[in-house]
Amino acid sequence: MSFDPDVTGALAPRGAAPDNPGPAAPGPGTVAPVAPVPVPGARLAVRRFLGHGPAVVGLAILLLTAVMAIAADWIAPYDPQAVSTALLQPPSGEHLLGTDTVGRDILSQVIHGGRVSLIVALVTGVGTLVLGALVGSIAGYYGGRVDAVLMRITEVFQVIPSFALALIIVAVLGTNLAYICGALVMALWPQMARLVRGEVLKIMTTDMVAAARTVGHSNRRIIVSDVLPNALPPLIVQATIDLGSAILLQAGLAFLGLGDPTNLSWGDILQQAQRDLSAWWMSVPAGVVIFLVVLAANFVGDGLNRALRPTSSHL
Amino acid sequence: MTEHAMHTGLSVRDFSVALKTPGGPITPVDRVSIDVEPGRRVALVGESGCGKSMMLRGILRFIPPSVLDGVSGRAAFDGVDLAELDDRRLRNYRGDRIAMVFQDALARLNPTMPVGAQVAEVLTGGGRERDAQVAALFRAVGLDSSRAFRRRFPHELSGGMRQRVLIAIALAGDPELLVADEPTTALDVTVQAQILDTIASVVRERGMALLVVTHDLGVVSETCEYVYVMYAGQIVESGPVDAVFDEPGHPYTQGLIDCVLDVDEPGEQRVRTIPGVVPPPGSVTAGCRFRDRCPAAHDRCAVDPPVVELGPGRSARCWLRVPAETVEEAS
Amino acid sequence: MLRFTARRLLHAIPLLFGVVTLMFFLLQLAPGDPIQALIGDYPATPEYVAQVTKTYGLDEPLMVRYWEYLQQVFTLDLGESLASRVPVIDLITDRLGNTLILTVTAMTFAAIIGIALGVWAGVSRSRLLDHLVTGVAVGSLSIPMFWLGQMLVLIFAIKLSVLPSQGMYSTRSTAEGIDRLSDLLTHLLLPALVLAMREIGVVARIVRTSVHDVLTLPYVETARAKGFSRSKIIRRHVVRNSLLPAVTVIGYNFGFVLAGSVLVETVFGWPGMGQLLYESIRNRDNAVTIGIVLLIAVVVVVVNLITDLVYGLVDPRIRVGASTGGRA
Repeated sequence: MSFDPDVTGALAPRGAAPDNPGPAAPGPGTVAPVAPVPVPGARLAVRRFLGHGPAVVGLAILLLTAVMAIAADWIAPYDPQAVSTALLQPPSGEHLLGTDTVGRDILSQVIHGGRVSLIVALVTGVGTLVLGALVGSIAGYYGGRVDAVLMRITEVFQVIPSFALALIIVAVLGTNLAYICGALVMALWPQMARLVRGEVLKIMTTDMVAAARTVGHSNRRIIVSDVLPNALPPLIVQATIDLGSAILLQAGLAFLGLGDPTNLSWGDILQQAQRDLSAWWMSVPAGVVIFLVVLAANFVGDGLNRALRPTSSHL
Repeated sequence: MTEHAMHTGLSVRDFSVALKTPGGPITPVDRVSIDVEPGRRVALVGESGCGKSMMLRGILRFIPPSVLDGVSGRAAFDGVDLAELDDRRLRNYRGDRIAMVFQDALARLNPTMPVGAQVAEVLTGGGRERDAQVAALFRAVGLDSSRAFRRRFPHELSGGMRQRVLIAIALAGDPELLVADEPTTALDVTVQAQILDTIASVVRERGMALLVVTHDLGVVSETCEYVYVMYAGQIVESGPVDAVFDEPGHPYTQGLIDCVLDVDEPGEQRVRTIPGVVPPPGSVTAGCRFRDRCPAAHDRCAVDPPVVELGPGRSARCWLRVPAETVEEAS
Repeated sequence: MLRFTARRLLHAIPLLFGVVTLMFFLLQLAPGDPIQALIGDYPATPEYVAQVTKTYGLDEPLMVRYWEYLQQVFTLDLGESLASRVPVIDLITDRLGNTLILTVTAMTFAAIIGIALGVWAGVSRSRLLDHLVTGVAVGSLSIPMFWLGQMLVLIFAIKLSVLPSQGMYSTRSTAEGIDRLSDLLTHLLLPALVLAMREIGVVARIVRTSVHDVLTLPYVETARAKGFSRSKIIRRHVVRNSLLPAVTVIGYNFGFVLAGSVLVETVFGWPGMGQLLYESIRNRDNAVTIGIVLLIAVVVVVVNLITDLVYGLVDPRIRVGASTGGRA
């Protein structure tokens, strides 16, 4: 902001106007350690979230996808793996979204594919959050050499593009769902760790932590009960965005043939589609659902950002 | 253009600035009138937060529309109301006729452009001639005029040098009025004096008018002929510098002078002796705005004080200056 | 500047070392027999297994193997492809050129289109345009890149037949010179655009924010006080300074684009490293797979280094002392 002190003085609450214009006068924004903004009341946060249109739409899409995935066995008209003689059929009354190269019903595959996406997203999201919080908070809390070493390790993981890292892990270790989730956590945790570290460093400067130390609380207790809860809002936002990233990365892996063969995913459908792109009924629906779900996760992330961190800048 | 014929300088009448805030509009500048005639050197003093800078911004239209609620009154330069100029004509005034020197020179200079180029871009000519002009401007403000120096970047200069670059930028358009907004804040004391000397001498040499905004009365006595004292968005006293300093007409002015007297020895820690702070705009509804901090406050101060003529070109906004019998009439 | 360069170089070396180490231990984690991991699912003769065991020193202790692996990698010996029996490094260098054509073109698209969009949205006072660019940016981050490619092939190659969908040159083309170049460009357009899509969004968003921020900086007001028009202020004082963060983003994201090229090359049949990677995954040809990922990591480290140096060149504040630091 290019405002002169007069404005900020004017906007400040009564009694807080800068009273010494001399060189030592603290400018706006340099107000040293203040206790972190408390997490706003849950009701207020919910209201702010619901007031943001895209976030509500996003949440609705995610919930709908979840219902669809959970109830897949009842909703899907066919067994997604059941081959038939109706090969590569365009959409018809019998197969609403047509069939693939071996005669499997695309609609049923799309419905069942949501399961993989959701499992991958949830497991990866939680895994990233836990690993990132662990490494980030230890690095930020202890600082010094511990921090230097941990951050170097983080950097090694970060310098390999996330997709390449996930790909190599799955390619070497195997393509079952557990490995895929593990690989995605490996690919996504560095960013989370850096974020956590940054937040922890901010909180460490507050009186609250100093007080906890004076009282003699153990490091672990301070991290778990004082530091992490205050760092939570940005972490939740990042985790939500990671859900989307995980779905995208998993789709990419499956497209390259690194999908779990026992659990067909949306990416697998797109891999099938690549064999004959003129069969649009294979590529269009699967891609649209991936796009919508990832978009929804990003919208929800933005909405949470507005709801939980009202002072931060938005997208 | 016909308006050039009228050389009346800057004339501000009943000028108010209203800003948008989350809590509704506020008026940090409230019906202020000042004059800066051609060639005159005028100071505007007051503590931080009293609306001095906001007034300048309002007059020269530097307040972004996202914040500005509106201005009222008249701010004219040589008879032309600045508020009525379209963008293109306003640009002809800025730089060419009214130039500004800001405080905080580091932030005020483009960090990625050599300082010479930042002066040169104000000049219209080209090539070698322009180069020579820039060098002359650098000399005029007491800077090394070598090419190597002009190629340096702002962060490679000291605070005082940067401030001089800003002055050179202001001079480059050969303006009629130089407006300096706290030009020496954040510099150390010896450098402050040098910068002020530079401003005062270039203004005198070029016959420019000067309007300097400051909270530092030392600046005023050294450089200016006339002074306006501003408090909480209003002019509370005005007059020739010597007269005002010899015999202040308003307790606030007295307070400001006392602060300087208390700590006249050089030192960066200036202890202010007026207790309290400037009331934020919007918090004062009626009466004298200084009364909470005034040693001579009285019941009648709850009523808006009148502006009292104290002599030729001198006035103060204070009940203390109102003869006793008129007080009774008023109340 | 020299010290700055040296410092960045010193920082890059342990990073590369770490990446190689990570790859080595990943191989150790491979399920079952390490030989199996190395040769994948290929049917191997006992002699071949013995040869591999010896080459890789698999009968030696872990740390010895690690040391030898390091030596090999740093002498650019990435082993041999089990599918083709060709040294991995040769396979990669054969394809690297094509991938660079694709990725560098994509980065150029991203820079030009992203910066243009970002500046446009940043200086525009229209909220609609601002929202639109932000929307495109979020959309480009959410769309599966390879699917976007499939859709463009479907539209432009299959339905409209205006652009080729596969490969780098037309199959039976004997064109030379200019014609060959234009043939390449028509093949390049779609994949490069798809690959650029995500970065266009990222760059546009960061430039937009940066323009917004710079516009509020005090020195912009100085320019206004000089009597400059808005467009002149934007041209002379805002755009250049707003591009500084874009330099970092474009440089640092080169790795994403390189990794993304694996997907895009697969969609468009582009004969680059990505397609090689795709084949190596299908063939469980791990030496090639690891070799390519190692190379990607090396390229990322190098490009990041170059980015830091370029940043030092364009931002005079960094150029002088290491101590002035801040990239504000």
